[in-house]
Amino acid sequence: MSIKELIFSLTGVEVNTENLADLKAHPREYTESDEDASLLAELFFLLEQTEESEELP
Amino acid sequence: MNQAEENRYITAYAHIIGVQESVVTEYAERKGLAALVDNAYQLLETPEQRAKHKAFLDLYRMSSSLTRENPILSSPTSAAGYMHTVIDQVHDKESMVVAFLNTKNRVIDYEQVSVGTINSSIIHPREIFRNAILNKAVSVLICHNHPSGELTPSNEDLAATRALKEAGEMLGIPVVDHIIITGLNRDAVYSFRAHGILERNAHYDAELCLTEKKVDFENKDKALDEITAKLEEGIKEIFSSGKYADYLKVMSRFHHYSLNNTLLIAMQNPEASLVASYHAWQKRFERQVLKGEKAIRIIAPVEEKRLVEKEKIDPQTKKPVLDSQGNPVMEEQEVTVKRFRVVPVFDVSQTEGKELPTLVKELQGNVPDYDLLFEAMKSVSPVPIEFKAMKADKDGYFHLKDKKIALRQGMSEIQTVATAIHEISHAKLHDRDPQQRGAKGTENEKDQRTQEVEAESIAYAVCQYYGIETADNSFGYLAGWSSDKDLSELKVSLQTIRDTASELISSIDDKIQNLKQELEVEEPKTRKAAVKAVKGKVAALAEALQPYAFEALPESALQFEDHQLNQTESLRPWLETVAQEDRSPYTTRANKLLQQIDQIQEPSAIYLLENGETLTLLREDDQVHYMLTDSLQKPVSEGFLGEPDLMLDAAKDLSLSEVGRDGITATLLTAEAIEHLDVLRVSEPLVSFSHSEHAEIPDGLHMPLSQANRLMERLDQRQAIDRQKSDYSGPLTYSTDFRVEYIKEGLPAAYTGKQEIGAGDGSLSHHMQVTAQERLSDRSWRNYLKEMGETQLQADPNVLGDVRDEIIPYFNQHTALTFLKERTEGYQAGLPNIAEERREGLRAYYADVVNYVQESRQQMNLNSDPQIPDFPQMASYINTKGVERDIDHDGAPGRVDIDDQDGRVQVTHHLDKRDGVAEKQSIRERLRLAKPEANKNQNEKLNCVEREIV
Repeated sequence: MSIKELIFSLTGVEVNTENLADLKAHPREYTESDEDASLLAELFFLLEQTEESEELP
Repeated sequence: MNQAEENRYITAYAHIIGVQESVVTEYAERKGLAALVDNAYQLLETPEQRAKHKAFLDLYRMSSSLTRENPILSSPTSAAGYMHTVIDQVHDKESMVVAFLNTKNRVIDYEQVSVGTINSSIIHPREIFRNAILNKAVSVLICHNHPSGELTPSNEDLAATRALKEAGEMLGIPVVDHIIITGLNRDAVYSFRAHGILERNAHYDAELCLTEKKVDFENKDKALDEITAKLEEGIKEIFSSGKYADYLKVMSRFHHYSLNNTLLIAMQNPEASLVASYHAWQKRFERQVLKGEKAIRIIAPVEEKRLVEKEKIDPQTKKPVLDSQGNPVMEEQEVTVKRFRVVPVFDVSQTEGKELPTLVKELQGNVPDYDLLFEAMKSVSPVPIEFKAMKADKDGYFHLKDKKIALRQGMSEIQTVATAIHEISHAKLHDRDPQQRGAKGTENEKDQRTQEVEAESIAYAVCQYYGIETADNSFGYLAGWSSDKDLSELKVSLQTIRDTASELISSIDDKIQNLKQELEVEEPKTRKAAVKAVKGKVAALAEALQPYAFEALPESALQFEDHQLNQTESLRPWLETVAQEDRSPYTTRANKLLQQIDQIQEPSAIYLLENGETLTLLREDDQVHYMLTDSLQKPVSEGFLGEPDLMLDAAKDLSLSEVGRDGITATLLTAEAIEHLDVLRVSEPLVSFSHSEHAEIPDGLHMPLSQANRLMERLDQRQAIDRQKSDYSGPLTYSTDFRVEYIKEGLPAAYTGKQEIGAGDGSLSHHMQVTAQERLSDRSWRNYLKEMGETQLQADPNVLGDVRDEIIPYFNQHTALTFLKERTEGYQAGLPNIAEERREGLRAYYADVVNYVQESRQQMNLNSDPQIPDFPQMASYINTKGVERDIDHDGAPGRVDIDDQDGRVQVTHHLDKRDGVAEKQSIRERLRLAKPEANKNQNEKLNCVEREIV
């Protein structure tokens, strides 16, 4: 699945980019509402924390 | 994470994955927060939750690749995983990405080099290697996707891969692998290297290959450390894959039998692996027990319901209810009683039907120096190795009682090597011989899980050392045998694995060195010496085949003198049987011996020299007659060689020396190649279409270039018109792969390309010209030339400057000659209608025009300085002051103008055209100009005005 499809299946939010880095940095620019952007923020928080916890010894 | 973050994490996880927050909290408390991602199988109850979890993992991997250090591409699987993160729209369009790697195979950078169809002519090596040089890459890994979901490479993929491999070798930037991925299944990957197409080139561990081994023995331990680390990483990848979840899901449906029943099963069928009842196979696994299979009997508990009389209990007081006399009131109650009875079950091998999921994948592909490696493995094995027919779900075994290893017949070379090392490891480490066991001590006896993990890990490590990729099989196998995700079996056995792998590698290396020295014996010069060598090799092969219970070589077969050359024929039937039997690894050796017998018997040989000359050797009694002819087949030199009874290969070197062609490359031509060359020498270039999406071009269609030009131009124009129709629903264009074979200056050559029918390129020749022109105007090409130096790249037959300035004009000349010939043949057909007094003269004239065409072709094909004959003058044949017009001839000696069928193309003097052709107009421009030009053309024809090719 593409990034767009993965994000949609996880949050129901439609984004209009495949650039995950940009999307993380500016979620509001690629979504239609503040509500969608906050859903993305929740997803990115989960991704970031998962990554950080994986790096713990 | 602090407490607040942990709470937020759990809330976010519950919300996104769709699991109740309280359930997530409880699970995290029990198994740790990391288990929500790493080990969530028990938490996720519904398919939706699992799908979301998988999507989260996919996104996590993509996200992680953005922030982490660039990955090391250690296997096709890891390369595919990485490429999925960098190829956009993997399921929409075909695209190609090249990853630039450092010495550790770590990605330095990557570049998407094309979007659209993958084609050897479109994906030029310069595009792949340009940035590799700029990035100071040591090697590259190429990936392209098949949006269709089909992994099988096309012929074009194979051709492109080979071209890239050669270019990489030339530049010293080898191609580690070329992989194909799809948008449908993230786990699916096709590796060209695993299939032997990039063998001997580069490896995922470039330092660890058989033929270019750079790891010396001092560094071997370090290499083994890296290999075992990679092993752990690979198995963990399997654990986190969807494939593992599917596997567990199905495996969990199998009943876990008690110790007693396990023993009962083992006693009745020692090889049983997955056992279930007749109905369970049908209902749970969609498999059917094969007819006539004998059931395995086990004891199973059976629950029976019975009515028994019991005291009635008051539900409130929980005390027996009493009657008026104080006695307990009795009532009938249904109770379940457990009993045991014998039930029949069947092993998976006794069933057929829907395939069960598996974590392992049978490996395909060849191994460099397979014969040598296998021979060496056999000699280091503590027990004999034999090949046997087995069911496809079994690759081999080490027989504890018979003390031998059996491998399944018919496996690929990679799978055979991997299995052999696996079984050798069992034989070395897990032999349960009572004496052996006494020596080791019973306390050291390992359980089956540990034994399998050890054997497969050693196989993986040894294969990696020799550059043989077994990850697709090994990681899944090890994951299947590991009891937990901590890989406890692997960890306790690491030292054993390293020691045994190291010992095996040392022994195999020593043996390979010895075998190589034996093989590097100089090729026999005389036939007598060759017969002696063949006899020795056949005897050695017969001896090697002894443990295989193979048909013995007849005793009399080798009882002949070395000078009895024809007697070698008696060896042929036995060798052919060995070569045809699927008894790896001896098929290769038998085939080589058959080739050597052919060479002894060979009466003649023809070699094509790199300067276009041909050397023909002919055996006459004991002597060899040599004859050198030039590219036009005219004799240059001939004679007999002084030394008698020479092998033709040795005679070739001596002959080249005799005729002053020392050091020149001479290629032996097969009978088929000679026939093909003979056709090409006297004809116009020949086009073959390997594949086309257009229904009118079946795969394999071939025809002369002029015919192919007309076909492509017609289809191209028709497609452009059809596409405009309102009810049109087909594709915009049809991809068509083609190859033009031709002879130039006596040497065979080919141009390979892809034309999009309907894109407006018109004829094939025009397409080639436009393509060359477009690329030449590409700035990146010029920059690349500056970086690389032009000399090196001009060796490439598709070098664009040559294509534009030499090859296309040459093609056009041939096409023009064909038109001339066709027109002449038309006139010849009309001769009966010509007045009798003029007919004979015209007949002779037309015949000479046809001869002119033929002679011109030969000069163009074979001569580096073509001597085009004079064009026949009609005045020399008949009185031209009449109605007949000189065909296509302007009256000037040596000059011809020829127009093609639609009256738009004209050709001038052949030698003029070699000096360059004006840029061709696009089809649209040509169509636009065609009408006003048409009348002019007629006038020009009458006045015989010369024109450049347009």
